[in-house]
Amino acid sequence: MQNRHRPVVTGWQLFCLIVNTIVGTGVYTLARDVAEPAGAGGLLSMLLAGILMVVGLLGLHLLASRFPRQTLNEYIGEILGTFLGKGYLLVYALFTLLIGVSVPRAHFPVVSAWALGQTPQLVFMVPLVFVCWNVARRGVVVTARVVEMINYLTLTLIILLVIPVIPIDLDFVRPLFEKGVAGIAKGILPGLYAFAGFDVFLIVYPYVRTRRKFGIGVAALGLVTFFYLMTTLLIIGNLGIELILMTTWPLQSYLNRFALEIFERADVVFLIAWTFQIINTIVVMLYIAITCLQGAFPCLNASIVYFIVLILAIATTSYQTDYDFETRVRSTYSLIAIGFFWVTPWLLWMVSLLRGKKGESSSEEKSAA
Amino acid sequence: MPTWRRILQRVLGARRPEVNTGLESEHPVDKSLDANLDHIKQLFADSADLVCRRLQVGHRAAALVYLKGITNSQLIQQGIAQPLLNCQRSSSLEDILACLGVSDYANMEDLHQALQQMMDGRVLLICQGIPFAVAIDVVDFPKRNIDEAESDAVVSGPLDSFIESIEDNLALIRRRLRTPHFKSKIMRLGILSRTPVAICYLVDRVDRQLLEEVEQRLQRMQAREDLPKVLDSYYVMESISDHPLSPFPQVLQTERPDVIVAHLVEGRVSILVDGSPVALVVPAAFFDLLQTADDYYIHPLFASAARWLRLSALFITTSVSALYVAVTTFHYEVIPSKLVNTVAQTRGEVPLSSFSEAIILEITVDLLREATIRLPTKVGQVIGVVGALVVGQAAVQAGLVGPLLVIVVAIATIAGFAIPNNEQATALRMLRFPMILAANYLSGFGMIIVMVAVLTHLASMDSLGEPYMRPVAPLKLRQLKDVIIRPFRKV
Repeated sequence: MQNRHRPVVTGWQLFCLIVNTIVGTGVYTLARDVAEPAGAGGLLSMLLAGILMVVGLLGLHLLASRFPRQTLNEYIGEILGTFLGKGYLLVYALFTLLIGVSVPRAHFPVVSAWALGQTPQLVFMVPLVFVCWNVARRGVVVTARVVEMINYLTLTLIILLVIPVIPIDLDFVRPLFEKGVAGIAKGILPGLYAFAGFDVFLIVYPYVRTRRKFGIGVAALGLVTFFYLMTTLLIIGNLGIELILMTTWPLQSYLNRFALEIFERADVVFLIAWTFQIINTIVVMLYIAITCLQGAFPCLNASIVYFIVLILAIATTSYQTDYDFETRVRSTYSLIAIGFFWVTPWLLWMVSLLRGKKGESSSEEKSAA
Repeated sequence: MPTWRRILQRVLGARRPEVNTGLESEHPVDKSLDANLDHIKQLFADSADLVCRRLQVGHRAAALVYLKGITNSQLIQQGIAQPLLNCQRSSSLEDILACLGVSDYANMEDLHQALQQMMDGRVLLICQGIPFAVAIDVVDFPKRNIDEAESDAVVSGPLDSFIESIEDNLALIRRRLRTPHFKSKIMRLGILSRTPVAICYLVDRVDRQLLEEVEQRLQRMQAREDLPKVLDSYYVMESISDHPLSPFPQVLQTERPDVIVAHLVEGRVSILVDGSPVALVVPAAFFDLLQTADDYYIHPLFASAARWLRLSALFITTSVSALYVAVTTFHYEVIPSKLVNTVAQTRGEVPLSSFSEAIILEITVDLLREATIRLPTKVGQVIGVVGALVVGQAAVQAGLVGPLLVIVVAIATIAGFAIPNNEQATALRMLRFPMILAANYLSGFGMIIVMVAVLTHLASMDSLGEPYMRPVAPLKLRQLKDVIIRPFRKV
């Protein structure tokens, strides 16, 4: 990993990393996932999920700011002890890899249904995973730069998506409490999973130059929440709950209503362009997996770690399963993921507090204090 | 550095055997004039341009030794030979030099060092009984007149451009920088060519670290004993680049002194190489190469519009042909209904797949470009017209390629020419082929995968410590302003 411990990531890059890691394939199904338990109240579920994520981010910030100059690999051993620390890193690496793998696996069925019906999964996955791995293995500087560059395009796409070209039917988004408070609460869970990936904040923390890291994190979560809210509103407002529940990928069905002057099918164009965003998410997940694996096995040569991650990623993305089975599995590990990203940092922070473990502050932070 | 890269570098840049000039050893000037001349004649045997002219200076025998063609013979005759012949006092070297009345000379104890000076265009005065050689400056290398820039042509603005003489090139810069802060350090590169190379900077603006880095890299080049010659600035460019295997240029090349001055004022370092009309600027980022001198000599609005056009040319030149292949192979549904019949009809008459069709046409265009680039202008124009119009028209009529693809490839080619830096344009043009290939197998998704691979390569590069994709990644808002618009000059 290059530039270890040097503040090489700018505040803007941190913002891009958080936004682009969170927003991925979830957007295809998010409207249906929240509308299923909450109806039109899914909008409120999304909003609440966003607010809860800020609490999760606070946990990450509190934990990371106790060890401002160290990476998770370095201080996890101090908090949990060497053995448990390495075990945690290994589980974290594998789990992140799983999340990273689930992204192209969720993307491929859409691609297959919309554009590349005859293309085998392996043919699509190998170059996609390889190009993402090639970014991730180059370390935090290159990862941040690539994500930043792609971010300009995806931000444009996000802006285009949330501009309501087609007026929404307000009857579709009323009443908000149709399924009651319980329904809205149930809708929070898929909403929370849609924010998976924001834990990149913890991994890049010591590399970030600015001191306003938490503020940047909140801004990034704010943008994502706004984007999710707007897309959910537009999709529900255009398609209606009943149609959404019958549709596999509501976003694509919504976009199918647009026709551009040059390209008649906005949904196909969006699907292709959105691959940039998918790549961003995979890149960051693979980067986290590589970093944590290196922490778990410091004796292993970096090239061996890269190779292991590549092989695991290609094998798991190319393995074919039934779509329904995969959806069921995804809903299970999404629950675990929420615990992992949202609860664990708080627990680790409390343990570090109880055990009085704290890292050194940088000279700038000392002078500021 | 990874092993594969080391192997590749060794294969591509195999080390050559060490070279020597024959003047490495010390050889003190002998008191005997004949001994010195014999040694010189022995070293320069069969050198038609060597002149050894014996003279009588007062009561002392002497000789002028120089190389014809690189010295000013009129100056030697009138300014050196004539005064020496008229000289009456020759008891010491000071007396002789007093007769000459020249100020630009150097006394040398070592004959080999003196001969190095002679090869730089100086005349050597060697006298009987004096263990010194005097090197007098009468340099007059053949050179062409200052002319208009060939590759950096502008519509308005100054027209003068660098030539092959480093002194003249430094003068062109000095003319625009009348400040003692402008510095130029000369060093010699190449064991045989001993080419003068100047590092230019503004001492109050340059980044010290950058300057040291440039000096270190050139010193490393100077220390190389397997480098016989430096014939052009490209030799230096290749050697000082952070990523010499990358097709993307990391050093800015220009023939224009005004461009060099603009960069020096921004705190960059410029390198001039004797014998080359192209000067280098470091560091140079990807987007620096998209700017032209013209941008600063026209209205900011027009310059900004031109910059946007160039930025869009980046995408068009690399992607349009691939986009055609992706759409016609996988996504007929995205073509507007009014156009889809026309596209289907023209494609239906072509026996080849979109991929083969695009590859054939792209290679043909590249062949045409390569054929015309080195031909005399008029012949080149004729070949261009014949190739583009006649062959293109005939290929469409013969049903080998569709008319739509001809338009697409023409647009991509024109967009390539809109990119001002030739090396950058070539690198981007080459990208079309992997893009077309990827589009053929994975449609637009494949194109995006190739784009990300290229972005990764660009993001991992630095130009002498500066990120290559600055000011976009990492974002530098102030500098970004000068990429997407040409700022107004404050009055």
